[in-house]
Amino acid sequence: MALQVIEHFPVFIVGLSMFLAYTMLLAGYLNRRLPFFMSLAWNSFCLICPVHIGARPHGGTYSILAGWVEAALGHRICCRCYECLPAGHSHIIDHIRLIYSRGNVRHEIEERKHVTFYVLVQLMACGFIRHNRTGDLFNMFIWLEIASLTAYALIAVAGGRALRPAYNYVIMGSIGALLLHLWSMWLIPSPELSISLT
Amino acid sequence: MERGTRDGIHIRQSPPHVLMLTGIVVSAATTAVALAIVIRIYQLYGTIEESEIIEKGEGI
Repeated sequence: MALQVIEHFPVFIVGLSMFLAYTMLLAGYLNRRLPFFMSLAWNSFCLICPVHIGARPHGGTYSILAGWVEAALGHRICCRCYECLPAGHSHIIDHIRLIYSRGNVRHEIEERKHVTFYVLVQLMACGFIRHNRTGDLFNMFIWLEIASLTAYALIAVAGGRALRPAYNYVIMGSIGALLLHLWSMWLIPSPELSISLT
Repeated sequence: MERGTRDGIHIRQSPPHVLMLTGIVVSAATTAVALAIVIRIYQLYGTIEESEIIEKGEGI
């Protein structure tokens, strides 16, 4: 089945937001204000996508690494009509968080850490939002890990007393992720069970 | 490891070795983050013993 460009939107959102996070890091060296505006622009684009996908007559989209590789090696993402609503909500919350946190970030975080903060928050939001769009349990584990690792780093960025809680979170989060990983690995060899969430 | 079709697209289950490789990469990344935090803790407190850190932590 030939997939149209429009049906690859979920993949674009995932791939480009990861790429954007690293681009923001480079842009931050040029101008410390750029990461905020880049994040704002990208979130606005992401906000439109679920609405656009949800309005499609066939219901949903189903993308497999933009059609280049089959799901066995690719990242499988599904974004059907009913999933567009929570996805849209996540983006709206992310948008509001970004706009209203700007003032707090200015006052509470040192200026030299602003770039790091926006890059980590972008990666964490990317992890959490993609987490609810994955097509199987294993990809859910990967996105959960991406979101968790950036959350640990975000806590540790504060330095000082925040370092010890950050380390505790790493240990506790790793135990939780290990259980999820073991669960998905246990389901795979079974002929009756599947890790698919679709 | 084919598990049927959906919307005309074949759905395949990833082979275990692919998942294991990804699991190794993720665990390496987690270890790297944990070690980075441990190094910062050592730089700040001069020790990685939890009891000593708790004692010194009150003053920081």
